[in-house]
Amino acid sequence: MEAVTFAAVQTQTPDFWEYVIAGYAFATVLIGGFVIRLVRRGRNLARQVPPDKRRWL
Amino acid sequence: MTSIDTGLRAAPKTVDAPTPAPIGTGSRGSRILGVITLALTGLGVLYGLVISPPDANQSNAARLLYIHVPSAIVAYVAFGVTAFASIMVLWKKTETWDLIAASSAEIGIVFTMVCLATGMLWGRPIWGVFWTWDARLTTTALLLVLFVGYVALRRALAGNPNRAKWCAIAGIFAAIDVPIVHESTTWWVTLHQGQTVRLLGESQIGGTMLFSLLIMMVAGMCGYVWMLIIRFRVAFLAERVDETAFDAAIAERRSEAEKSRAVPTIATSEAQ
Repeated sequence: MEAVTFAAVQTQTPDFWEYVIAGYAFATVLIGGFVIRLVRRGRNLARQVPPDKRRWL
Repeated sequence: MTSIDTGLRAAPKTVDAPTPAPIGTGSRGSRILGVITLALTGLGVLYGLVISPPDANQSNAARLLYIHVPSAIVAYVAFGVTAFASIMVLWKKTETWDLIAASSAEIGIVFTMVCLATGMLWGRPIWGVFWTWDARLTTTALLLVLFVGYVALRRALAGNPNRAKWCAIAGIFAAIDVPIVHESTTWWVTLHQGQTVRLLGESQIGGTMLFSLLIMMVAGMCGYVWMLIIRFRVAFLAERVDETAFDAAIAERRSEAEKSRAVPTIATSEAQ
């Protein structure tokens, strides 16, 4: 009986997957976009700077 | 045991030879860290979306926890690093600390945006609204606005010799909001839940859910360190490009001035 009730509750409860997927997709796009832009900008700038000035620390 | 002479000899060590300059912003260490971050993120997403069970009350919406909490923690750390680097700017007055402060603030903004967006997406099915002027939400939004203002101030003061000092003061001021955000759920009555995981004391989750959260936290921190390294190098290169452009402009101006000085001399000799 308990198992049947639990199964009924499980089917009635919304799963909210659309919010989960939207959240993970937003994080991927934002962080991924930031990283891609960062790497591309670094490559472009590295071409413009002479090797002797390309030492970080 | 006989040794076989292959004819190969170790190359002589060049002690005084300078190490070659890096080609891009990547290095061996940053590449290794990047691969570790990607592997941990992949494992964390697998655990977060597939292996960990749905929550008894919130169903699958609780899976947003695995991005929401790590992004909040990374944002705290990033703004904390900005505050520390800003103090070092005022004390040591070095370019390195100034660039670290700016780089960390930019990464913190990205993670705060992720934290707010995932929180809104979590709030809609659980609270019934995307946004409410709750103390935690409001102070986090204020944190985002303060650090966007910090980055805007840096851009507005580009070329100003006092930029590092003013931005350091702004960075320290903005970071005061970090402990306020963290303690907002205990200082005020809020809709937002309190701490889920405690370093000292009992956590509200355990088992696979706690493990998934910890993996994503470690992945987030590795990702933050990787981004900070690359962002710092990009900022460093941008400064060198600006310097080169400035030097070229000065050289051009000097050559123009020399040419204009040379013109009357020629005219005088022609008159004679």
